[in-house]
Amino acid sequence: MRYEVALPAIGYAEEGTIEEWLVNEGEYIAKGKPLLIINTEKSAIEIESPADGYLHILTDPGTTVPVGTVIGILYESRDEIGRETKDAGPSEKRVFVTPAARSLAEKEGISLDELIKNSDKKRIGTRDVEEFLSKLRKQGEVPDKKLCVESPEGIPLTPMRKTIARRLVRSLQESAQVTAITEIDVSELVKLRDRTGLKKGNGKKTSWNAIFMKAIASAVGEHPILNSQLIDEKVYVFSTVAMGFAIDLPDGLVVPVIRNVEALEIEELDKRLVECVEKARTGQLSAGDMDGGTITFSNAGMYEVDFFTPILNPPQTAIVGVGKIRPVPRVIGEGIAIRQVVYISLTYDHRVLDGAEASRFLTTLKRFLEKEHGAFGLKV
Amino acid sequence: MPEITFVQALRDALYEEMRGDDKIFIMGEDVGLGEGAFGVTRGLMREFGSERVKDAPISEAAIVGAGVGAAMTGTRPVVEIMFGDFLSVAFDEVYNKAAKWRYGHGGQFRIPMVIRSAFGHRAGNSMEHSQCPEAVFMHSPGIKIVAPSTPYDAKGLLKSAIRDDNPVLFFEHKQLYRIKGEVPEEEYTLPIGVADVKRKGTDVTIVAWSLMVHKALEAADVLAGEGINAEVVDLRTIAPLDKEAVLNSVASTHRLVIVEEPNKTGGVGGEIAAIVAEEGFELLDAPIMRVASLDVPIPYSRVLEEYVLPSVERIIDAVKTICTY
Repeated sequence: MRYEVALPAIGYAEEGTIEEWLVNEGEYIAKGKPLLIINTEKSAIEIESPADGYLHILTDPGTTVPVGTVIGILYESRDEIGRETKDAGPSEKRVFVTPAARSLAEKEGISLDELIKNSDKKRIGTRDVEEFLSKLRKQGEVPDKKLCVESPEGIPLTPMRKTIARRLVRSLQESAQVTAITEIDVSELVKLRDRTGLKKGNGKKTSWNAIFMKAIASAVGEHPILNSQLIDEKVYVFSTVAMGFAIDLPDGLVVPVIRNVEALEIEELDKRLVECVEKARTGQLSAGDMDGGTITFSNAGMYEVDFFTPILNPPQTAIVGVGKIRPVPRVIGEGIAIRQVVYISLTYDHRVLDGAEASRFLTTLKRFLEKEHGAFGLKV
Repeated sequence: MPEITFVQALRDALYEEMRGDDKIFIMGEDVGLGEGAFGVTRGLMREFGSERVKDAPISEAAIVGAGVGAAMTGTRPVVEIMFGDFLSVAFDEVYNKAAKWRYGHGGQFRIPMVIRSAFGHRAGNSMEHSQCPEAVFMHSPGIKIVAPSTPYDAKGLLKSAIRDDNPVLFFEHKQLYRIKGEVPEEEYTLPIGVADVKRKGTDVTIVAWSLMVHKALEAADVLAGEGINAEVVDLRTIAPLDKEAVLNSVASTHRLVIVEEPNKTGGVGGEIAAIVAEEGFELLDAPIMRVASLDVPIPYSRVLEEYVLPSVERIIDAVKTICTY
């Protein structure tokens, strides 16, 4: 009897690193007892044994494997361990890599497996490594380390950056992203916001994040298709708005989700945002805090950025980006006036909606932000 | 720069050092009136007198033993053992007394003695007049062993050996005595324990010393014509061994051939191979090869002698074997 131990799914993580086996090879473990510790990009998690048995370890600590990989086997009796012969697989060619070649490959960060795959030699020496290296350099796959300012060995992507990289590339590869941009005159909104500070008596104004997020949630109410997910060629449109909120951390971006934004009072939303940022900065966000977003908001207004083209956070179908509010001359009636203006970008998935609906959404959002402030609950 | 013979370079070194330090004296069989079996000490007795150039009885044990005693009491003897093979007669004096007494007596005295000896094969001299015993004495801590390959190295190293406060075994190859090479007229010495790259190369390192350096260089010339660029490292000193030089060279060529004249088993080559395996394993692209004499006494027959000793062809074969590994 055998029970295969597979790397479990933890939150959004698609892979995990074996941090430590808590049971030695060949030792008995009862179901439910701590079996190993797994590291995902977010945290280290203790995994309980899924069954009783004697452990045979297949994946060594420090190895990163995709979710679902069989990392160990629990046998009913100790004698069974090692009795199974491994699948012979396709006849592996035995290649000898000389000590010097091995050492050079390690120094240059070249994968010996790749080299062996690309060579028909039985022995790999330094010359083979050098040739492979120069080929990779020509193809731009290996940098010229002499030109590196620091860390000529390369700075490995952190688990967090790896996750960001994987998700964003997948996003761009698998969806049809279009960005539409509109200019919004927020002069009145600026004045109104100034008064929110006066009203509260502490001078603390309602945050732009809360204002924009509420406005987006309200606009989504009129254009629900933007509050949706596309999974397996089916569109799921949601009744409540779970809005992702991009926060920049030293290690990279995190996008916690604020739920029921449409129903929250603007001041309550503001409070939640502050808590959320605090949680993010202290590393207390759980995988659950980042699950299930239906639309995302990203604010670059604190920088000298006028507008940008945000990337969708799949399976969501829309993301709204906001740039810096700045005073500009604008034609008002017959004259020119100085107005406070901001650009709002909407990236949407063209597979789910077309330009017309996206434009209508932006028009609604513009109307709310320029004139109908009450529509999204900003009252003074 | 004037070209002089190896034997002249040695003689010049002796002259210069003896003129500069009257504690230096020479002792050996036929070194005075006979002017040395190979002519190294020619004219020295006339120049320095029989007190400083002493003919000794045919007793190697007495020659080395007296040298050790004289060195202990404050002189700087340069004794000559006519053939390296005869060092076995003075084995205890070299291996135990000269090498270890300074240590064994807590440093109460020094033994600044040079033991010069002609070694190596030449024209069918056979088993008792052809040997190279450096590996035997390398096994005894306390004695330095020098074996130069050129007149320039011979002069600079003999001067350093004479000035050294510890015993030095100085091997002169019989076939090198008549070779010529550039030697500057001005004063110079060469440090003991420092190897010399006699030819730069990128594909394989050939380590050799004494006569074998010349064989290695010949092999390298042939190999260059076939696109193999060999580096020739001349150890110059067997003990202390310049392992850094060997490792540095192997670090750039990743291949090593060691050429030594004596029998392969228990040789210096085995020691060098072990050092590279221990300290330079990750530098290697191929097995280390030794080219040495076959494990038999050196034959009297010239045909067999040639067959037994390392040849340029065997060096080339060894290099090609590991370069195509």
